[in-house]
Amino acid sequence: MLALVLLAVIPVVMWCTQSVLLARAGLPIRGRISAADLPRSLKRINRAATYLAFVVVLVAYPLLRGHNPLVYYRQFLPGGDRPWEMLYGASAAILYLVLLYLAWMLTGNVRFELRHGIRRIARSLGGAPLTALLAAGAEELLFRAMLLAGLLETFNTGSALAIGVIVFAGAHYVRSVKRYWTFAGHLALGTLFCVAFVCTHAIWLSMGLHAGGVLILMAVRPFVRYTGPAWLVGASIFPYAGLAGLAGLILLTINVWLGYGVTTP
Amino acid sequence: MNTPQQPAIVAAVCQQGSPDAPAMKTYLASHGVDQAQWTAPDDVHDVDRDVRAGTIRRVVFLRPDDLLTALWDQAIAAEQWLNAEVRAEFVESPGEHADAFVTATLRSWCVWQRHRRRRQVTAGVVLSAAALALAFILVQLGT
Repeated sequence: MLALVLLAVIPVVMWCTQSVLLARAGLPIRGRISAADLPRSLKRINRAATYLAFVVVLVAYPLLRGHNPLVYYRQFLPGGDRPWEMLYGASAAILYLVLLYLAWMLTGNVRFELRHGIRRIARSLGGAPLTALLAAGAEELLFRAMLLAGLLETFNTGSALAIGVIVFAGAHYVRSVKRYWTFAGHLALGTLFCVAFVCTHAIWLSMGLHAGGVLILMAVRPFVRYTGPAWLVGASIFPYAGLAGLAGLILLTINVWLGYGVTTP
Repeated sequence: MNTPQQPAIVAAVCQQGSPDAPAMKTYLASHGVDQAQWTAPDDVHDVDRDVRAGTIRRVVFLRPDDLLTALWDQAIAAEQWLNAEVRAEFVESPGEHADAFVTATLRSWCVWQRHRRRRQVTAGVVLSAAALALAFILVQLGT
């Protein structure tokens, strides 16, 4: 429960920071969390404050429970052969996404073309691996090593998994977003990561799956234009929100379940 | 579907024996065409081949939509038809005015796009299922 409370603090911090920055920019304060019309320099401060809130919550959680943060998170990053799970997860996610994009390209449901200038594409591709690792690492620590691990101490596996999935999916809609129909995709995505964590009681596998997915999404984004219906292929960075993507996530979850089963911590 | 009759310089894009065939025959007769190479609309690429070979210089379509659908389907090479100065005629003219032809063109494009989208979605569903099955098996083998 402590994890849930701490997670709930993050949107509050985000809203407070945004309100201060909006006031500083002479803009009206609003209820929804959106940095859309903030000047670029203030946007940067806003983003930094959000990341700082993530770090503070990550550190505060084990400290409030009387654990050393490093020791606490280290238990979810076991050594030996276990880091290979990350490679397995990344390869599996990449394989699914590449085959899906190939199928959609061959059938005219996505079009591959240069959407930006070469310099912007090079910058975006160059930063993709690091961004994928950082985004996946931060979210897996927050939602699996902290939240789900905490929920598993309080609830049975099914309930903990359900709450973990809903909170993970909901967290992607705390800020104002363009699309809300992608929620089912986030639920399926959350299920995959949570099952991976429950099966392995480590974040290597879920981090690999997460990072592999983010990597491909970032790598194809400057080239892909979705021409097929959203119900089939999703949209923008949400190919997993369409029917094919959802089916892919379900199959990948079965892969993980069959491959790793449930290990009792 | 072709009924080659040498020398064939006029192509009639119409299925022989179809309900449209009498109208095509009447049109050809009234325009002094004694011999024509009949080709079904689905086989219009055969007409394109003969245009490229230089044996066809005049093509009669039932309606503009048949020509436009062939264009959208890339069944005919528009540039080569222009270079060869192929004369396209229609049994059912879209009307005297240019705006009628524009409307007919847009309508044809919309209908063609709808059909194409349906084909793409069906193919997308089938190929996505195949891709997912392949991914599932490969990941399972790699476990």
